[in-house]
Amino acid sequence: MNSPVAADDSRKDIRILVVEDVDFNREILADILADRCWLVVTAASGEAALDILAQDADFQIILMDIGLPGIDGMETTRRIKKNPATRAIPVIALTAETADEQEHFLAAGLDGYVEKNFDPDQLFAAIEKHLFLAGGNRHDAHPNTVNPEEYFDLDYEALLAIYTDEKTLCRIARAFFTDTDKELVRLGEAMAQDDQAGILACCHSLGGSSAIFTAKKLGMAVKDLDDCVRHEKKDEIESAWRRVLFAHESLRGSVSRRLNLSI
Amino acid sequence: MPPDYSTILIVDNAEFIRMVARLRLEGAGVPPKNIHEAENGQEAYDLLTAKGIPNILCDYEMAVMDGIELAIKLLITEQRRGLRFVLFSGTPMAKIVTALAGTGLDIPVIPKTRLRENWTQTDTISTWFPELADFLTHQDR
Repeated sequence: MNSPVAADDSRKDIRILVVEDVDFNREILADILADRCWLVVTAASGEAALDILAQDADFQIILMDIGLPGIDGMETTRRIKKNPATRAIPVIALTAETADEQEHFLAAGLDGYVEKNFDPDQLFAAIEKHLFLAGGNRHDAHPNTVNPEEYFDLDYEALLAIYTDEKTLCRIARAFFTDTDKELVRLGEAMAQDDQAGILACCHSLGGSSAIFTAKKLGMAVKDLDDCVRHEKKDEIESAWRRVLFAHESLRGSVSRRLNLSI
Repeated sequence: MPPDYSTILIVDNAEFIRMVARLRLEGAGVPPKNIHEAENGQEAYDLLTAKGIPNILCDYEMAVMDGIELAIKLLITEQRRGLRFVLFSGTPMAKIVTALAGTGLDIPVIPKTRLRENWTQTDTISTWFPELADFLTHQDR
């Protein structure tokens, strides 16, 4: 999905440490991130990353290649998470591994992962998510003190009461995400084209589906975007759109974990 | 084709919404084979004409022929008799009432959030689709 999220002045002081041993990959990543006006520092090994962090721990995100020579990405992350000065910095794995490895990554202290395909949209979405969880502020970025569950939007008991049993709920959940994924693609296109009628139509549809799925936070995020468009709050539209994407992804994560579904 | 009052058509562009509506109807006793689905007003028009479906539960906002357009075509333009047409929507009721004003339509409008409730033959179905409720009552005997 295209994520037409533009650079944002408030994010210009975000510093990202990229740990990647392949020169070519490191340069591509630095270029992609610089497009967002983020400040990028690179390290070619786990050892170099730890040296940099020993001198300067003021980073908001670390992108970590897993397959590093010497100390690999997992071990580098363990050391980062052991150090009180650096443990609060979200570390996102750059990996070609499948989602099956997720538990392995989390056990090592990694906060998330993103496929190593250099897709800017995926990369930005992962980074934005962790910046959001951390409050997006370099001075109070303490993700370990944030409970991600509070951002998740699933009242499982209410859903079960409405949809009678777990098997039915799974069917309903799949249909919900099939529909809302399509709607978000349409919404992204409408955003990119500044098509206000299109944005409002998508908001209407997403709002209705959210209400029936009892997804309150997604519904609120959609309502905020609708409100920004209707009242021409142009400065707030991009961030409202990001909140919709984040609320939807958070809901998907919550539903997939709770129902053990691949959606 | 003569109307078959045991059948009902759900019209919504979202599969998720159609699935929940189907769940509600099945929960009220409507046999699954009697529930039909369409993604938009045009598809609905073709289907109910071909199958003689007289009960229609239809979304208000759809890209291809919305709920009000379909209702006008069936009830005003073609003067079809014996149809039970219920409009459901996530749009604020006041806006729909405004949209209906002057069309000559007199049809029930229900908020989509009613899909979160369980439906029964004796209240929900009998209010909106009385002939369908009669069929279900006789079926139970």
